[in-house]
Amino acid sequence: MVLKKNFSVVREVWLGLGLSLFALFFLWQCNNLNQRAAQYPRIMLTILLILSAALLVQGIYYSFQPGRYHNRYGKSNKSIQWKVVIHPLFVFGTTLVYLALFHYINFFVATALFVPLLMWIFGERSVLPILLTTVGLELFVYLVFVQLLHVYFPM
Amino acid sequence: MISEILSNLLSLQTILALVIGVAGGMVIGALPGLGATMGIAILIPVTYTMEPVAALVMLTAIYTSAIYGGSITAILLHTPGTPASAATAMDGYQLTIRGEGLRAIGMSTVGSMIGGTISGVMLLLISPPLARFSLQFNAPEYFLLAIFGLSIIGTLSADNLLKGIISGVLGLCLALVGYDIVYGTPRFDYGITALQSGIQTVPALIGLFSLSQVMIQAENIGAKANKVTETAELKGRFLPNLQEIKLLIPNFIRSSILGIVVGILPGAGGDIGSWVGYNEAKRFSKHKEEFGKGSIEGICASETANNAVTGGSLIPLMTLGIPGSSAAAVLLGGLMIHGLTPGSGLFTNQAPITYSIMVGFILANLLMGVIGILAARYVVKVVKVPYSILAPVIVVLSVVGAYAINISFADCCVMLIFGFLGYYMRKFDFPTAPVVLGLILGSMAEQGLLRSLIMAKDTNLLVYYLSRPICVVLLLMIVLAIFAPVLMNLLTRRMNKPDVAETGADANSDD
Repeated sequence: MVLKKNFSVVREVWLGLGLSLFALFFLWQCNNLNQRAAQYPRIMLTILLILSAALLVQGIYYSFQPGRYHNRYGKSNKSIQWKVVIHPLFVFGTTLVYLALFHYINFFVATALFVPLLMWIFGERSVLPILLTTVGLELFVYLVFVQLLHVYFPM
Repeated sequence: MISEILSNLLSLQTILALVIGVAGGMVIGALPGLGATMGIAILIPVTYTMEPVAALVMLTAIYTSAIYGGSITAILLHTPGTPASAATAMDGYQLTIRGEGLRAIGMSTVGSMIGGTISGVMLLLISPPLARFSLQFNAPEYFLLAIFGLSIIGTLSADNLLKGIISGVLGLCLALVGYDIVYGTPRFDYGITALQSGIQTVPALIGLFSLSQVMIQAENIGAKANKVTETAELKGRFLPNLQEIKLLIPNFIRSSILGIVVGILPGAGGDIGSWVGYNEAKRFSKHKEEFGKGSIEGICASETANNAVTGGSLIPLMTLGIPGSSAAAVLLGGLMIHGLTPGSGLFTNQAPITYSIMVGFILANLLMGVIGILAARYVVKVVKVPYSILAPVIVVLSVVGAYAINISFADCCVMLIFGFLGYYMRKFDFPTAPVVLGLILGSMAEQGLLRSLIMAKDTNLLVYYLSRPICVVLLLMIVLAIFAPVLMNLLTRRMNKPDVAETGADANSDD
């Protein structure tokens, strides 16, 4: 079969493949379980495997029929570009560091560092709103969660 | 019991919860990008130490008033706060351009209040007999009920059925983590103590709906911001006069009934309810030509119907434990946290609490009307709060909320992982609501299936199911639900419902 010049693998192929591998891995892990307890997980994971394989087959079909794929999914056909996800990933990474600081240092110190940083990432450059939001949020959490709800934050 | 209900509702905590829930819900709904689901998810932790009645009244008040709040920005700024107000945006904004924005908000306030209140009354009337009926359910029926709940995933993901089903099954697979409920052996916990009790639902919900939403909004960093248009000065009459109300009575009744029915159908939320109501109002109207060009009847229909959906969706939730929409799924998490298990028990052992919550929901809808009349014109100003302030508030409250459930840092990690998962699911067009359904219904399905295998003994399982009348009905409902996406597609085409993005609503919202 000769591939067309504009041939591109649609993302459903990779998603189907990834999900199939996920299901296969956990099906294999079922061998380590008590056989009776593994009965239901095996059923569910097999269903997931079948559905993932169906997604993979659908993806392969659409890779050869880009016109039909575009007609069906329209705008969602766009591949996910790095420049689109970079900021969300940066927010995720910042939150990850925030959680680490919360765990290893202190919640209120971590929040005092995280809030200004996230506001800066979202484009806030004025000091006053950053200061007011940080102090206001810390106060709110302290009053509602520590004083009212008696939530213990590790020091 | 009446005195108990009254004392529950007249406590200072419940009254405060009611007012905060209604006002907070309106603000949350008005902010594009935030919605009822996220609002409830983020505020569940605040309710931990509250009395169950106050907590659930606050959460249901947020649900109904967030749906209403979405209409304010839809009318004044052509930016629906939630997809449920997309139909309202078409006619409402036309009226705003003509200088009749206040009249449109007035109609939306009255319609939302009437729709929500009627649905609350129906919740009060329909739920008890339905719950009594559920007493006849045993393991096979509960298994089929869970399957029915999951089979409606198709309607939650009409755009891509396969991805919707995969999301649901993924949710079921995630529910496998932790101790096996029938044999009591650990599964997929890899020695991590926090995973032995399974994946906690509320942190997962907070991550899926709140953190992922902040990540979605982060995509707009650096892009030219959508500047909020200044609206024309709002003046003139706010409330419709008696003559108008009289003419609109059939519209109120029809839209309320349609909204309640759509709400009861698991999976069909406020957006479908508002379009069905709008379409039927157009069909019955003597002024069809006005629809889409500033029809007050159109606003009345869509707003009455989308708020009627809220009470309707609470009916299967409270009686059968089937959350039809993502907002209802989050509410189920709220019920569970306060020790309220859906089913007949809610209407027998916990009847005073349950009826107090239902009456509280009706009061929330009435109060929403009052606060709407007094403050709706000012709520639009909250849209001007920049996301640079909202984002850290949402993330910090998500972290605190996830942590506060069990004072467990592991729950924060669950929240973070589900936030990441939710973001990429949205990017790859996998609906997130079915994951929640799968996660919640997983244990019901497993328990039901394994126990019915024991009950069936040597009989073939299908034959055993077919010998039970309720199972036969449930099997038929499952078949119907599987074909529902096809019917929904036909209905949508008949209504000429535009794409969510075309209406200006947040296409990623789960409300």
